[in-house]
Amino acid sequence: MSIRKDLARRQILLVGNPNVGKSSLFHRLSGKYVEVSNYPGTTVDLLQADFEDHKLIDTPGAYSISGINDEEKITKEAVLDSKPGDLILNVVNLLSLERDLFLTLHLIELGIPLILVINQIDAKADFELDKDGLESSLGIPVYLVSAITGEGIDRLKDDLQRDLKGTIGHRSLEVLDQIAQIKKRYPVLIKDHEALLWLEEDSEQIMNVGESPSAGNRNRLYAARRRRLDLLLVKVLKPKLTPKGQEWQEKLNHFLLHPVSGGLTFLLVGFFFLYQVLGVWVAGDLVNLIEKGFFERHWNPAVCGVVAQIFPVRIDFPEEDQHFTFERGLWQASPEDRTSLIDFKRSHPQAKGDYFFSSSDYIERTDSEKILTSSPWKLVWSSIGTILAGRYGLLTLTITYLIGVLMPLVWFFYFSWALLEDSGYLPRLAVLADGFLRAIGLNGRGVIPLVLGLGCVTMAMVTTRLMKSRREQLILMILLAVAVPCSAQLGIIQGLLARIGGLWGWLIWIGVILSVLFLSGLLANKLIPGISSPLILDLPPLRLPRLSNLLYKANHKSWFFLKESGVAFVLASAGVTLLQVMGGLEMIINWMKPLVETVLHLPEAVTLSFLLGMIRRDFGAFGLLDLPLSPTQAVTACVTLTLFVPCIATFGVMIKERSFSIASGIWLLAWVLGFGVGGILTRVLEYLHFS
Amino acid sequence: MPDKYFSSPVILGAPDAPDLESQLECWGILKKPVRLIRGPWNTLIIKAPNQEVALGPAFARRLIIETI
Repeated sequence: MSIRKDLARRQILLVGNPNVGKSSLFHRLSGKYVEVSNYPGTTVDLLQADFEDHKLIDTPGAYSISGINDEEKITKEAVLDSKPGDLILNVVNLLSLERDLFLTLHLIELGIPLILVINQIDAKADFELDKDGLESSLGIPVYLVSAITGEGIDRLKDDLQRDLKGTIGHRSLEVLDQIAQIKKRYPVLIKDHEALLWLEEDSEQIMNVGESPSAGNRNRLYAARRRRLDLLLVKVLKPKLTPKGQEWQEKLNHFLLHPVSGGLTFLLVGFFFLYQVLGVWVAGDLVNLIEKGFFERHWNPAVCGVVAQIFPVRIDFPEEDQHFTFERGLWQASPEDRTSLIDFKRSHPQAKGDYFFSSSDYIERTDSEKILTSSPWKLVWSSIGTILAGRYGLLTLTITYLIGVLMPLVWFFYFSWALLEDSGYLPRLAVLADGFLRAIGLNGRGVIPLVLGLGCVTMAMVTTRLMKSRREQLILMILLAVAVPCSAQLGIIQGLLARIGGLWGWLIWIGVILSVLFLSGLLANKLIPGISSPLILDLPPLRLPRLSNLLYKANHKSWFFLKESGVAFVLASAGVTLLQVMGGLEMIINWMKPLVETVLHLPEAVTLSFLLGMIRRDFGAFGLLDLPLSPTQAVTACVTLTLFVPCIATFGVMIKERSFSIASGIWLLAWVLGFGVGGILTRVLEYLHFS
Repeated sequence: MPDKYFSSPVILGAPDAPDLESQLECWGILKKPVRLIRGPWNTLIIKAPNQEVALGPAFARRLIIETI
């Protein structure tokens, strides 16, 4: 992705190694929320925000500007495209100067003006830094900040507002000499950075010259840069006694990386979080309390009561076998009709009325065909009432589902997810999963998009760029599309399994999904040509997450989910209601019914879940919680819905990242897998009399 | 990999794997004293001061290791 050029505004680029705090600094400077985590590869694309009159750009983490992988290529392009007057803030972490300053020297040797920002100065380090010495050795301004506590940020902000300029640092004579020689030999290499990148075997510059540099050139240059950095560090870092408090990190690190203790921890954490927390406590107890205790008892009757004043309604009292129909709503009802309702309520104070706004209910339950044929406007009027407060009403079901069911699930999911992200556990999980993922043509890094997919499959599709080869990216896309449920869907599935399927149902569900994931991966690994890359991963230190950051992330992501999902769900509900009014819904359900009933042995009502699941995965679990399913049906429905097609947004991202034909192929595969595996599973469970 | 490599600090090189060597050089753990730890599934954890890196078995096999 290239940066949109805005000549009138200065661009400030944050550039640095992965996981040094660029995104935290970006948030501090701009106030804009960006994903901040304790693992490399959080940012895989350029992020932009306003900072005063300037444009602030967060770049993906890069260890070099030679553009070895996709993220580094994006950063390289952003750095080299910067125009005079733009500023590059090279962000490094105080605790990993030995690693991070290597890129600083690279940028300096490329002749790029920059300033150095040393982040995390609040951390306990086992050395003292001579900031002035570093400044004079590198020849560039140095700022000390903590993006977490805010220390040093005001000074940096003030200077940036005063149009702080970057400086070209001190370049080694050896490198300058090499650049001059290369430029003389290859006139096509006009700029210094072009010559240096060619020497470092940059593919773009090799194409430009039409010739490769001699073998080992890049490593000789890197070795020379490392020597310079080592000498520099000896000069500016004064060792102190090792700070205490690292022992627990060391022990925990070993524990988490051990094949037995680490593997068991993962299984226990996964089970506890998915089944007990998300399934039993949140989807069961909490959602029950909110949905039944508030929405069904207070919200829906109140809303229906208001809508019934204006729109045609039928009020049923099933226990008393009594009903009242108001063709023009309660407000315009005849005094006799209104009096008869009031009298009935007085004589039956305990009776609970159900409101029916659906015009199809009208046709079924009352003699309203006469009304519809004689007065077409009444059909329109009753349809509006239905859209507002009918079976799939915007004010009833949509609000209840979004706020009462999905929000608690999504919030708790994102909170737990933030805990994993910020603690630094995910990279350890990547190492633990390496063996499993190697068998399916990936390496441990693939675990990050797969786990991210449990939050949002669409976002995870973009992070497949973490993988080095296109082959690995495609395998991951297939797995994400067919076997990874998103957060809200996952929550509802956990709730349903905890309520009906029980522990065995949950174990069958997870066993089938992991088996499908593994077998699909094995097949993809066999069929997709090419080779996969081995694991090489920087492990960030384990740290205790900050509660404020966890809450901030969970709140922000849940709010984002509500905004995005809310609009989609309102449109989907309105669409379904319109289809219902016009009779189209019945037609589609009748078309899908044989698949659902014959193949999966599920009740007709589940068809709507599949229909909505095509729009958004989380809608796919729509209404399932309230259906009277047997344990076999519940497990079958959960497995089929998990394996069912990716949502529209994911489909769009797959087209963007790949092609329409590949996206369509994966979409069809999900149909076959969902119904195929679901069909087999239900027969096996029926044979075993699972209950 | 022999046990002696896991019991004392070692020096790493990867002359036959230029990309790996470049990456280790970027991180500052090439030709410097580091400790090796056995990871799960034949992975290798390289522990340098303030730095920890995991390598898959395919990369681990390309390393030239010298005890100090």
